[in-house]
Amino acid sequence: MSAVAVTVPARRSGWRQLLGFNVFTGVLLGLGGWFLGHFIGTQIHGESLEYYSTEAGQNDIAIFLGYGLGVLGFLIGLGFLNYPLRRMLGHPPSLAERESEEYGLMRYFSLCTDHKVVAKQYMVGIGFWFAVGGLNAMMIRTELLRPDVHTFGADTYLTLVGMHGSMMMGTMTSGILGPLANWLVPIMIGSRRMAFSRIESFTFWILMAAEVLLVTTLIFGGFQTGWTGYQPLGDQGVAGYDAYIGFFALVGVSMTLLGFNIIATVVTMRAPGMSWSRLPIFVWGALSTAALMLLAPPMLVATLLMAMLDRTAQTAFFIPGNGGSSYLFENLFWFFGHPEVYILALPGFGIVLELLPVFSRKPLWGYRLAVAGMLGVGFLSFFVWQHHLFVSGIDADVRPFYMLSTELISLPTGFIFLCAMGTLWRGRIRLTVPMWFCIAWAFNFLWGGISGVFNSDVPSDVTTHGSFFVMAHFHYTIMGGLVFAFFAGIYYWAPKMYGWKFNETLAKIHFWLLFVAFNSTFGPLFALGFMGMPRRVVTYPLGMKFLNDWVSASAYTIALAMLIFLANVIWSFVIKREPAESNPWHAKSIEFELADPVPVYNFERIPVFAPDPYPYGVEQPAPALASGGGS
Amino acid sequence: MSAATTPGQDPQPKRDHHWRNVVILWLLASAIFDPLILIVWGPGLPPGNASVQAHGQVIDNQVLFGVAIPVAAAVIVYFAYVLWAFRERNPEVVVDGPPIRGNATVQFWWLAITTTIVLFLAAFGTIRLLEDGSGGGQGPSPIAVPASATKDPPLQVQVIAQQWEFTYRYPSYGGVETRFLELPANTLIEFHVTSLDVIHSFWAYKLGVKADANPGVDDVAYVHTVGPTTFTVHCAELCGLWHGYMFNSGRVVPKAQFASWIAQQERTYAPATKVLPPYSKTYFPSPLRRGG
Amino acid sequence: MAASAPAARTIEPEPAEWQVRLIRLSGRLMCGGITFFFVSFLFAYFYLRALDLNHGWKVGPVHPAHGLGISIMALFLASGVFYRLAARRPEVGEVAAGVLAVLLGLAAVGLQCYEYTILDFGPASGAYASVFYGWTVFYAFFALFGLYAIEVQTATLWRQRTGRQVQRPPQEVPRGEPEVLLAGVDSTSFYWAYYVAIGVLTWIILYLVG
Repeated sequence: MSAVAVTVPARRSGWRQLLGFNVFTGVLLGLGGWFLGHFIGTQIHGESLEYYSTEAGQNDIAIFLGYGLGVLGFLIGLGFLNYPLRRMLGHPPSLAERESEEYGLMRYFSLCTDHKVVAKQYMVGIGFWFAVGGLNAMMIRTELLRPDVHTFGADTYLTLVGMHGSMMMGTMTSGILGPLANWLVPIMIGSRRMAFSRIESFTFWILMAAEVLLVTTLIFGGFQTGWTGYQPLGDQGVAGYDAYIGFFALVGVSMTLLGFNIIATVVTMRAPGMSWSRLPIFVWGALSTAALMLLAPPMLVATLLMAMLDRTAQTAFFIPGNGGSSYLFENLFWFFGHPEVYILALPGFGIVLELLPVFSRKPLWGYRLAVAGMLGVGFLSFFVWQHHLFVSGIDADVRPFYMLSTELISLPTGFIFLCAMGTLWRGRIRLTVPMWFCIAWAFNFLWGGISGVFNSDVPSDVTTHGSFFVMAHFHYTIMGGLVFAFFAGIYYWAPKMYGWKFNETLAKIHFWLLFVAFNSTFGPLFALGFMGMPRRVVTYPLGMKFLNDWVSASAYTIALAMLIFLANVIWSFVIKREPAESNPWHAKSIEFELADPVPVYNFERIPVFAPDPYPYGVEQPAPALASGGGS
Repeated sequence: MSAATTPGQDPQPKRDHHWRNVVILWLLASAIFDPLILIVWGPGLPPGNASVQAHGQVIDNQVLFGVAIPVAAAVIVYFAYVLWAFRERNPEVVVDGPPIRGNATVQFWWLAITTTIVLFLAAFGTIRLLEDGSGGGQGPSPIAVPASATKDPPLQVQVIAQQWEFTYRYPSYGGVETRFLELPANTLIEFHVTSLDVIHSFWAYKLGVKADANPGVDDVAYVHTVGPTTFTVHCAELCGLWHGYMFNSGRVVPKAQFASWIAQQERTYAPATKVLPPYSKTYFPSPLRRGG
Repeated sequence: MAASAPAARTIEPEPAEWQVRLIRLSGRLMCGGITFFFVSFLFAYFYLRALDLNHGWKVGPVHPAHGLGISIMALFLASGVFYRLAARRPEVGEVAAGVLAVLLGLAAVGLQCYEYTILDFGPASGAYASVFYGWTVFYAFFALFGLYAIEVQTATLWRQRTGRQVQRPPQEVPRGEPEVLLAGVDSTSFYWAYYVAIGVLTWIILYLVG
């Protein structure tokens, strides 16, 4: 294979880096696009389109056009239209943009095709919006401190509830695939890049634009539907609901393309020796998630576009008086909504099963069973959605089928637990902070899963549906599962990604405080649900005040734990910057065999992988790379 | 590259007792917690016994707990034990464990046992559901009709949900409407739940009934009341600004008291009832107005 | 402003077949995504028709324009068939077929826009009208993306074959080799053929079944 010389462009000086295509230009052009679109919309919206009496000044067409042109302006400012336009003129395909280290810090504020840069952009972006969503949660819990005194008022409260849910669901679906899979998947399969590197950067920036769109709901009066956006309540709402539509539509696009990219990468770009049975389990987790991400979000986008048409063109998809149906929205939404929550759960499985072998010093137990579990969960997730609709009056005679399918999905989930348990058996277990988060994952997801079985039983669900029991269930699976696995992954891989060590003491405090506070927050919610407290309510019977206050106090403690984590990040990564060892966990996987810092091209020679993905405890431990590798 | 990792020498003696320990601890934990929860809490499990359907849900919850506790105990006991038994005591040591990649027997029995549990729970839930409807909304053509409906025609009560109030209408008593639900004891009630605007959900916790109210839809739910009691009705589906305040109280009263009450309501409201829209399973008021 | 001397590194290039394979796969993957998008409208059609809430399936006179409908469908179909033929058969020129496909597609989109102006019903005329407008509007909108992809393949191929390539420094990844370009045509034509098949289904449901 002949070597290819790669030239590196000269570095641009100082303030000149601010000019040109980057996020700052994007924001400027985005604002311009908003005003242009809004202006065009006010010209279009005339008498002929007035059907319902409208609030003075609410012009949904102007708002949607404003959002549309605003996002377009943002993308233009970032430079996303340059390459497509060049291709229209017939320029040949090219795959790299602004990858060289000579571009410096500006790479992180621009369209950069280096997958490691995109992963770090995601890391900060996801972290920021996760914090904002968490702040919303603290405000929700503050409102619920007293049933008779309203800190924020019913209107703001419902918007907070909706923003918290939407932000968390929209952000954390890319929460692991964005920062971690983008960094690890190419490296783990022996590639230098993701398949479509510009699309990879696009998924990040469009997600950031979406989040900003969501926050603009506050300008337009908020939305009162919660993250599920039920119609026809949404159609009733003031303009803030348009922000919700815009947010989730863009999130849907981001998710679809992210899934598309990961599948294309893993299927076609595996280095020699990386067969399907050799794939690290983390990559299997990413792959099964990606399959769901490719197929489910387009339905969400279609549903939201229907809602947009209802609000602007006066169509009647969801307006019962004119031929539409609220059931249509529920079915369409949950057909997306259920795979969505497995998009949240599956990457967590991948992280935990990837880390347990390292900290037990044993191969992954039941590798094929684990893969079957992940693929089984992904496949079955499309067949269970009506369990959200058990008492809705939809198709009541198919409820036994959905009860069965939902119960069945606990089988492949059980495989994941079995493989985790088998990996620990007779291991030489080292309890590091990432390992503690993995153990906590198992504990939390256990309760999340069992409460799911309660919900899947229709008679039991008659009481728990729409109550705080369901809230506890999904917070245990999503936060107790995904977020804990996310932190396991951060503590495990961030030292390699960034090159600096975390402070061990702060990390341990973060873990224990978070684990205790998390269970203290969401455990009592099971009780509140069993006692009959509905969801999304701004008041409750006085007898439930003690439990609600306990929950709120524990929630503030979660925030404290997260602040400790933030302090750790600032102390370790900004102030102290103690270099991390190259392989702090003594892992036998390829990412820890790379040079420090990891170069743009990952490895000088395409790796050839040895057949064993988890070579622990074997006589001659085979390295991950039989040849090739870092410099 | 990676630190020196010699292949693990299994430090345990040839016949050790880890499996036995785990099983014993699991049996202990199950033996303690299962009866504790089922006997101590069991009778008080939600939603209580104020109706036949609610009692049925209590039975379901008891069975679910009965199965869930040993499963949870197995996982927790196992994790706690392995973290104690197989922990590397010296943090400096990085030694590999034995290269166990799987065990077909364990996988088979795990799959067999979990599948049996799952199929049992699904079958049990289905049977219980079809027996009396479990108080859940079943749409316009319910299939899980309680057996007593054939002998004794149920009392029809229409629940009309709107933002942000429930109205109860008695079609067999001249269409009398009330805001405070009043039901006779020991009677099968057939709720017809519908909405005038957005999705709501009629939830009477103590009666064990929950049925979504959708505009243009007739959602039927059955409840067989037992003795006199009071209960609260909450809206269980976010319906806008005052969803949290969409609740009210209701009563189950002796049959005779109900009969005299409803007769008096009919007399008092006869002039008003004449001008109300005729009873219909769904209502379509004028299109939605934009609002908060 | 100091210009640092460009540094050269020698690294092993990735296998050439990766780019070809992933381009071919990408078209198929996109088919999966777009399927679920339009399945939503298909489901809405049948569901709302079955429910017919408040007799709102068709409110007032609702008649789609059948002549225009067949024309639009035929134009899309021709566009998809020609371009796919060009990808599969060496005797059909990809560049000419690409130009034709784009022109036919644009004509179809234009006719669709015209149809909206002459229809006797608007989007507010019940559930069928809603599904009709929603489905056709987004079909035409996403068709533009497909036509963009065809234009890109055609323009790149044209430059390659007529010797008008843009000169750029060599890159590690194969960037314009004939196999890569032909893989692009294959992928795009597969996706576009699938997309016009969805269009035929759209026409059957909205016009024939009606």
